[in-house]
Amino acid sequence: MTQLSLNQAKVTSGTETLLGPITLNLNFAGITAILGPNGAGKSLFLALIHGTIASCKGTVLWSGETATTNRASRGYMLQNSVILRRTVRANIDFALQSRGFKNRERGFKIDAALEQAQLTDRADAPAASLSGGELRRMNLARALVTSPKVLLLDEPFAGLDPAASTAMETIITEVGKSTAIFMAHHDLVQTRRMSSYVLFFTNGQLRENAFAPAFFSEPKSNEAQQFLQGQLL
Amino acid sequence: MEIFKTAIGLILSGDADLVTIISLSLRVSLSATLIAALFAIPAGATLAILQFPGRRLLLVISSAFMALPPVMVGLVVYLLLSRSGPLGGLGLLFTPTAMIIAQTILIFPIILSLTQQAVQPLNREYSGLFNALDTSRGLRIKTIIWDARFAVSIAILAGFGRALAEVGAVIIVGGNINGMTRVMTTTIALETSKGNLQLALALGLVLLAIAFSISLLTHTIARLGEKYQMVRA
Repeated sequence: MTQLSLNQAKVTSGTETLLGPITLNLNFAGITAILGPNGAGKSLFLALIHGTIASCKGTVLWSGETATTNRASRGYMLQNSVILRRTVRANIDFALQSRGFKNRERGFKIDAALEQAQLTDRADAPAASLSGGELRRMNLARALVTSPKVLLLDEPFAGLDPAASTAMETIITEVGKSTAIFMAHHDLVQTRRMSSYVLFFTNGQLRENAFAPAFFSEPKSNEAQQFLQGQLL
Repeated sequence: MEIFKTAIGLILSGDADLVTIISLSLRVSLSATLIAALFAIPAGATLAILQFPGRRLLLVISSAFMALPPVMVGLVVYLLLSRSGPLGGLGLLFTPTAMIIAQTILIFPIILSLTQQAVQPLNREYSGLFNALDTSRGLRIKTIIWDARFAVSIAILAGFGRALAEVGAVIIVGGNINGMTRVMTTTIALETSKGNLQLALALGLVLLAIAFSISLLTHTIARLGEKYQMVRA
């Protein structure tokens, strides 16, 4: 069980407010979907709760601890796949090196992550030779390999074909059984199937937060109703 | 045509003078390349990842120094090492060590600038991942150097080629002393002016052969690098 609490958290650039202010208390395991149209602030929200944004006001706390500390307890998968010019195995190992894991634990952890991401047979291939779906799974493995308590996934399904998307969904659902996941997404059908909680954003504002079934059957805000009816905001 | 035959004959016979000259050339230029690369590569990568005031100025200076005239370097090193100079007490003037120092200074900016240019785009591409993983400065530098390893090897070869081919610096600080500080380029200059064209041409052919080998090696390295390069955005 992980607790996330935001108090008047706000991201600004100069005089402009990009996100928030958000006040929110979540005490939750499982998959939380971050929904909203493009430009709603989903990626920014993930960066904010990961603690990598310098110019933020208010507080963001994970189990009472400010988000800028102990980032090692979270795994963060970026929207754009970053491919190091090395093998798949070395790409995954990079996360362990960055987090200061000891040599002798690394091999075992990489093997487990490769297996989880169904990439065992591609381990020694140059990462640049992977398909789009494999690449996304490699990025997931890199976020997973440090055994984080919380996993932040930014658009893990963007640009994947149905088969690759299904493979990804199976893996994320499996991981979600033991790890709290925050996942930015905009596919309603998939979100409904996978997530147990929803945070809904438009224009940098948190419009609604609710359990997934409630959100999908009785959205309270106008924006959410329009979004669920497929009207662009 | 007769002169070509004599020149090639000289090379094939393994003429003792010829061998001494070639081996001193290689020893001086390889040492200079090794020393320059040892410092220039980390320095180039550091310039690529650090943001500090004056960084741009340093980059401008270092690329301007890529075109540093060898005679100018020779003159400065001469002034430093001459009897009355600040380092005169070391007695290094007209020794191979002085030649190594001059060539190191000459090619340091070349290796530094080429390395910086090779790793800069990688750093931009990787910085999202580096920040998400809180990758340390040292590991960032190591990572971009390793991932740009093919371009960096080519930077080293460019430095070596420049060192081996220059005349101006070594002739000033080495003095072109027979059997002591005479290298391929300075011998060619001297023997040509004396009218001993066979020996000059023989050395010219050896230089040319080395240039071709460097070029071949550069292309082989670049080809090896391709399979790790990104094939998609």
